Amino acid sequence: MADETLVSAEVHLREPAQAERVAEKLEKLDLDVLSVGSRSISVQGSKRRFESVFGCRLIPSEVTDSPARDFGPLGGESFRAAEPPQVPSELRDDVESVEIQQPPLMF
Amino acid sequence: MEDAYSSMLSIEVSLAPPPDTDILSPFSATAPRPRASNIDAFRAEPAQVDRAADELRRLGFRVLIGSSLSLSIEGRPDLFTEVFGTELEERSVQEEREQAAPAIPAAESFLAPAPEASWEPPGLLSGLVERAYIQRPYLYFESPLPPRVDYHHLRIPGDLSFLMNASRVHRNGTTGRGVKVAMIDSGFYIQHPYYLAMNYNMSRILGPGATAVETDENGHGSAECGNIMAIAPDATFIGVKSGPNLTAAFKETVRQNPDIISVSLGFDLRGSNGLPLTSLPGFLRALEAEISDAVASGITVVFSAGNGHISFPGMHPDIISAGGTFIDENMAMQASDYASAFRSAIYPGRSVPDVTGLVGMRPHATYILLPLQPECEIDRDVSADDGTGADDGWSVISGTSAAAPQLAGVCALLKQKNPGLSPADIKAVLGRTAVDVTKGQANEASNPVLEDGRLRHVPVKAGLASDGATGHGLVDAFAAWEQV
Repeated sequence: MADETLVSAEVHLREPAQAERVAEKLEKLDLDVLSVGSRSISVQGSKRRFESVFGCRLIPSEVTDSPARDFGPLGGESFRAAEPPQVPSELRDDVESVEIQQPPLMF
Repeated sequence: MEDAYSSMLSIEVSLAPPPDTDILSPFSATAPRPRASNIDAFRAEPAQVDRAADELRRLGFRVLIGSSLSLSIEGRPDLFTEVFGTELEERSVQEEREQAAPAIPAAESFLAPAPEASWEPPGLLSGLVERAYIQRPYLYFESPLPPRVDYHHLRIPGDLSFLMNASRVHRNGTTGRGVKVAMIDSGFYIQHPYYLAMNYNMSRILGPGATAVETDENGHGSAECGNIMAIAPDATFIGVKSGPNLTAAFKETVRQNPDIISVSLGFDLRGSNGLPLTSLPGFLRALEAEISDAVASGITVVFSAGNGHISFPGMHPDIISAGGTFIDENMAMQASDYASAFRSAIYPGRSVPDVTGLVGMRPHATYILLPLQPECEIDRDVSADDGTGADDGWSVISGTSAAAPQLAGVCALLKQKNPGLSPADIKAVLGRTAVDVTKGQANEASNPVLEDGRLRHVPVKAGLASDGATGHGLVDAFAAWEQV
């Protein structure tokens, strides 16, 4: 059965000038490039693909017990990396880190 | 799922005027149309009504109710075809009502006689019944008028524009015209009859990873953007429907080249011990940088301060952090105990909020009557508390989600008057012209402290002059407008 759970991440760049080149490499790794910024690239892909590309396990984010009030998170299931994501060797010169994104709360 | 062919048809049966009487047929080309003055001329004899009803029952139809003018009956589609010899076809309600007024059909499709279908009532009915019309699904007409609720609340646009002192700015000819305000949220149901009737200049796009631009399944964005338009009715509004990656949505929003960005979303930076985080989590570092970049490029960025949250980006030093002030039915003003107020443990010297908009009180901040997509999550979920229907396309909500777009609307007024204002100029003038809020306290949930080894939540109180609970106070659009 296909793994359709989508995960989003920010790929932090060492040099802004490398953004387009890094975006191309990320697409070759079968990740969807959502947005290219000056300092980071937003990518999306299946949970399984993320775990494979970045060599980390993704586990469901724990819900922190908060006394604050909101309309809940925007989007569905969210994940965090059980261990720091590893930058693939072909991106290591250009990418500083990869951060799995959490959905924001609607205030 | 039930389709049109498996459901019962609702049918209106007209009675045939006997040939030897003066009874008129409403289908006659020469007879007058039925009116109150001539309706008696169309009435059938009671005996005919009874005979027709009996015969229809015998054929298998259910007679719901009869009058001297018609019979309302029910029957299955195959029975209708068998009795009247009429082939039926399925039609889409939507296709049949292009360009129509906003309305929600009671069903998506219906059965109707196929083109050139025959009409051959059986012998016993032929003298009794003139026509039998299958009824089409009726429409719920959406109203641009909000429902009535019986407690103190604010209605848009008038109450917001009055209490934020934006009405006086409008009367001076400044309404936000030519200023582009972008908002990132759950979606934007800008086809709501209220928004259509107001003829606002609104558009929407999909942010990265988001789908279905025309819907807002949650309702949050559709409702909260009403706050912007109440304050800056001629602003050019662009809604960006966000996927779960707010950083990606923010980058896309900047690309739209707005003057102002309003965001009523954020993160609660509270550790598992309940205390504020002292460093920004890695997953928010890109967003932190993109916000700074946007402000550096001249975009004024407004974020909600949170509703008891230790909010980020609500604590980002470069943004305008929108907190809450509540005004009751006697115009008494106090800090909203629903809105956040705290000192950032990440950015030294940063106090949240900067200024406030209008926000309700606990427990639910039920305060501002706002339009949203009928039957969306908020419409359904808050109907138990707010006195509106679960499917009427209106909810009474607020939170600092309402305050941020209100302040964004004020920023638009200032930018129209003086396009050269920088984000720092705007933040400064909003602060120095705000109305001091001296009573009440903010939501203590946003200010956790450890005392004697125990976690406590300490409310930040309002007081004379600038204070932690409301910052500089409630924004006064006219006072700020006069100074730019």
